[in-house]
Amino acid sequence: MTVDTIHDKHDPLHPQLPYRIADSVNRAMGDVQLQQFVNAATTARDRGRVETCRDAFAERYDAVRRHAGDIKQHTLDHLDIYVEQFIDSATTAGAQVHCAASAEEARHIGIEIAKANECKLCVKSKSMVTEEIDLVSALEDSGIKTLETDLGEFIIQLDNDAPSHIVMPMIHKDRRSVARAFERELKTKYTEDPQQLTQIAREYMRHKFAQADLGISGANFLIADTGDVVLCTNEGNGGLTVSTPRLHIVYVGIEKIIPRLDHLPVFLKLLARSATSQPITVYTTILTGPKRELEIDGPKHMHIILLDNGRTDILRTDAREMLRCIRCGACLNACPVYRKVGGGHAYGAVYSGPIGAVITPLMKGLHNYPDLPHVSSLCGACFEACPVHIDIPRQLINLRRDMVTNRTMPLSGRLAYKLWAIVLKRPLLYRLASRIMALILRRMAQSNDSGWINKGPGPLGAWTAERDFPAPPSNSFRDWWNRHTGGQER
Amino acid sequence: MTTPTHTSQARHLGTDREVFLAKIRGALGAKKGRTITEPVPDVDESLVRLCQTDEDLPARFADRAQALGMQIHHAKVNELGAQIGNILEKHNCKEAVTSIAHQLLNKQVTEILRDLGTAMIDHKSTSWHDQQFDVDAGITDVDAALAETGSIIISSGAHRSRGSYLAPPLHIALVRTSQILADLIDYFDCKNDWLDEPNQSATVLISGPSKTADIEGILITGVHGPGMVHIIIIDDQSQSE
Amino acid sequence: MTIALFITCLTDNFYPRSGIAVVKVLEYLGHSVVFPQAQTCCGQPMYNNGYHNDARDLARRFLHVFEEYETIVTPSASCASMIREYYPTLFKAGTNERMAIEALSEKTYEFVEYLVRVQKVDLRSLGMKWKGSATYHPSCHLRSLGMHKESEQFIEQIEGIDLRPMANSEQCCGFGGSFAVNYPEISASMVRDKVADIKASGADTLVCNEAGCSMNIAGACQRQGVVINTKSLAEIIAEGLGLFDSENES
Ligand code: SF4
Repeated sequence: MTVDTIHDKHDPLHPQLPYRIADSVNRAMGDVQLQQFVNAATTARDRGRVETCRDAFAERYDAVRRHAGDIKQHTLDHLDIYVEQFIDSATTAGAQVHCAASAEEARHIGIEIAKANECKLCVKSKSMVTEEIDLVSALEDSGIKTLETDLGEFIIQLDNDAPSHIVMPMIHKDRRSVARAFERELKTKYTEDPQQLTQIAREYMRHKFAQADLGISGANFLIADTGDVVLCTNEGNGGLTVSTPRLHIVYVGIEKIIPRLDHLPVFLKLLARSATSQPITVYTTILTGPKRELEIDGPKHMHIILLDNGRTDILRTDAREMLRCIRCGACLNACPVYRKVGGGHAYGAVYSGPIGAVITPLMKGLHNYPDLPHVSSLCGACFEACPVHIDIPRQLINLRRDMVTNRTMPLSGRLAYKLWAIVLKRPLLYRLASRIMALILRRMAQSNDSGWINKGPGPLGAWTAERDFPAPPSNSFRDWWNRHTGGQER
Repeated sequence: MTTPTHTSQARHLGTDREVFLAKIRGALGAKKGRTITEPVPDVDESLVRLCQTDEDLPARFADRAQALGMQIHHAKVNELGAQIGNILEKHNCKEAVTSIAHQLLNKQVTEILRDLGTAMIDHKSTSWHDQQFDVDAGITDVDAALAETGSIIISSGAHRSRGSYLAPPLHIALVRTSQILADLIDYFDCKNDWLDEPNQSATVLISGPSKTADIEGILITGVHGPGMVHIIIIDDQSQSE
Repeated sequence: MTIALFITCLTDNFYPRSGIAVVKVLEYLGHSVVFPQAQTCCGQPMYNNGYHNDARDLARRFLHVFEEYETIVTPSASCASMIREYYPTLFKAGTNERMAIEALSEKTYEFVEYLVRVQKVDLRSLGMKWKGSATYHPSCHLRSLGMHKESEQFIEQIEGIDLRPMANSEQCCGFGGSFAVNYPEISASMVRDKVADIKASGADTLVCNEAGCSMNIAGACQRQGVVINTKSLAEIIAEGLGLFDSENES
């Protein structure tokens, strides 16, 4: 059984495959209010990022991003060595490290550990990896009640909804939906006041923390030479998750490793600024194994589940740089396409936005997500935002290349480009074709005298559905040049 | 695969470690036993350092900590009682947990609380686990503090509980000026030197009160952790003392 | 200096006046401009859509046509970045061909970039005047060449221009080549936002240096009945210097 089959087709993050995006795009484009909502939130975050990063790093900002990217790239290029080193040092620190090749195996390991320890109630802090492997429903199916404790994730869990942003999971929900969910599920008095809503959640969850016997978290960084697990959170639920329950399980992808503890500042300085325009997250928790004998609190046992689940497949390709990602969400906030469709779970997977458009097809197969590499204007805003300098547009193009090479692209498209290329390789043919095209376009524009085409056939029709297309003027630049110079090159 | 018994001591759940590593090597085209031949990139301080060691560190620390939403108080050692008393009174705290590794400071604070008549909760008692969520305030010292960001750094240990600075709604942190470092770089270069106890399991950098902006991006403090963090900066460096 | 002009498909066929302006301004600055007649397209459409074998062939062609010139200038930042950023990735590192391509990359410039960074032109010292209100759309590729701020400062040097700030000016207009026809709803929605921001600026003229963006934005303005002149910066400069003598050139 794989992640993809245990779900009915209504789960927007684990849809039926192959996933075609058209319906979601239409739905998202139809909800103007949601678009504006998401647009406002992401634009504000993006501006905040630019401001705080410029403020801190001034003209060094780009160089810092490159530097962080270099450290991560080095780690990935030697990941076999660093994973081995991490396993050894984390084990020395007293943690138990398990290796999971797939999502299914990762779920299985966690459930086995939880069952062996007779865990009944799990408190969970926010983790994209656990979303990726769809852990919570598996835990619940095994009789382990699991509570998302990050406020956004908690609300989403109450509403049986799905996160739509890797940092701001409920960017698509407003306070009214929170108010309704709390009234319905927690039986509290209806209020739309965010302060009061937060208070309600706080009170509800505090007692759960005390009762829970299992804490599950992700990790933002793993330190190879010390075996440390680093968690960056703002609410404090991460800290409590690893403080009150007697057992702690960490789910983490192998790409989260960095070589040494002294590398950590580079990433701490970038992560929160890129994600939420804070200089550093409120809580940066560094865990070195479970509670020591003399310590007052903390879990007796700590298990770290290292996840592959397609990461080695990415490592193998020229998309390796994608694994530098520190999940800051900056590329989502910067992306004009995400701003339009992101609120509607249009990316059909756990990872959305530019990062998702690349890694989802890589992890789950291009044939399963043939549209994602194409839903981008390649504007490059993501590349400029990325704190680890991942050339996302180039990676999108490379996926398009792979689709051409493995013939996932429809034949008609391939033929059209072939024909176009044939023309472009022959200057005389190119000039002739340009002339003919210009003639045809001018003829089409004649019907309305404006010099514009307002209804075109074929692909031009998609263009003219919403905007006019210009008719070329009767003289091209080349015509002018030939008159200007009498046909000479110089 | 071994089936774990009642404790969680199963070693080999999931994929065998060698198989797992071999897959990574396969993806990289690397051989088992290879070593790193290229230099590991060092942190380029000229790019990344944001606070110089010769800045006025206590001043910058206070400034940044305040910007993060924490409240700053300055105290000489003999004024500590009044400061703590003020804060506890202002927030109507009837009981507090102390979680202080520095022995002298611990003794002092204990006396202060006794004088104030504040009930002291013992985090070493068995009832602490449930009690921690009902305590009004947690008072801790710190391992170190950072001028760069205004963060305080606290490790857990035999005298400091994780819960004491996370569970109560109010956290009072005692920072000595000699503990203030310039940059994150300076701390992580020698984290262990700053630990109050060697071989501990958890260190946290705290940079403000607990925060969330999950509901419509509106900033709310005090969602899970303390909504209020007061820092008392104790000058232990001035010559005049 | 002799400059080889790479005109690009869109400017050649749809925006000849912009190409003419480039020639006139470069000549005015004392350069001699040549136009290699065998040029076609840089191959960006093939590259962006994944047809990398064809893109590589076109890169070779481009190299063949332009290799001999010491400087190549093009009015399109996206074509310039195709040549500079992406051509090298199509060839194996260390090969002679790759080295030739890299040498080509190093001498290829977008027009504004060439004026600002290489020639260090200061428009104030040229004594140009251009009267009118304008707002500026820095195309994404100009931004990715790091020219966003510099190009804006360059425009501010124009005497007489009433430059109106545009909200969200850095945001993509939604063109994206095949994206505009593959996802017309998203693309159109993006350009609607852009048009709204342009309209709100109150300017009469939109300065836009990328033919693709111009097509998209002007086409959307036309559809929505928003009256605005779309011009490239080269046109503005040429007009300001009085280089367009007869109307049959415009
Ligand atoms: S790809 Fe870069 S910008 Fe996007 S989430 Fe990952 S690290 Fe952040």
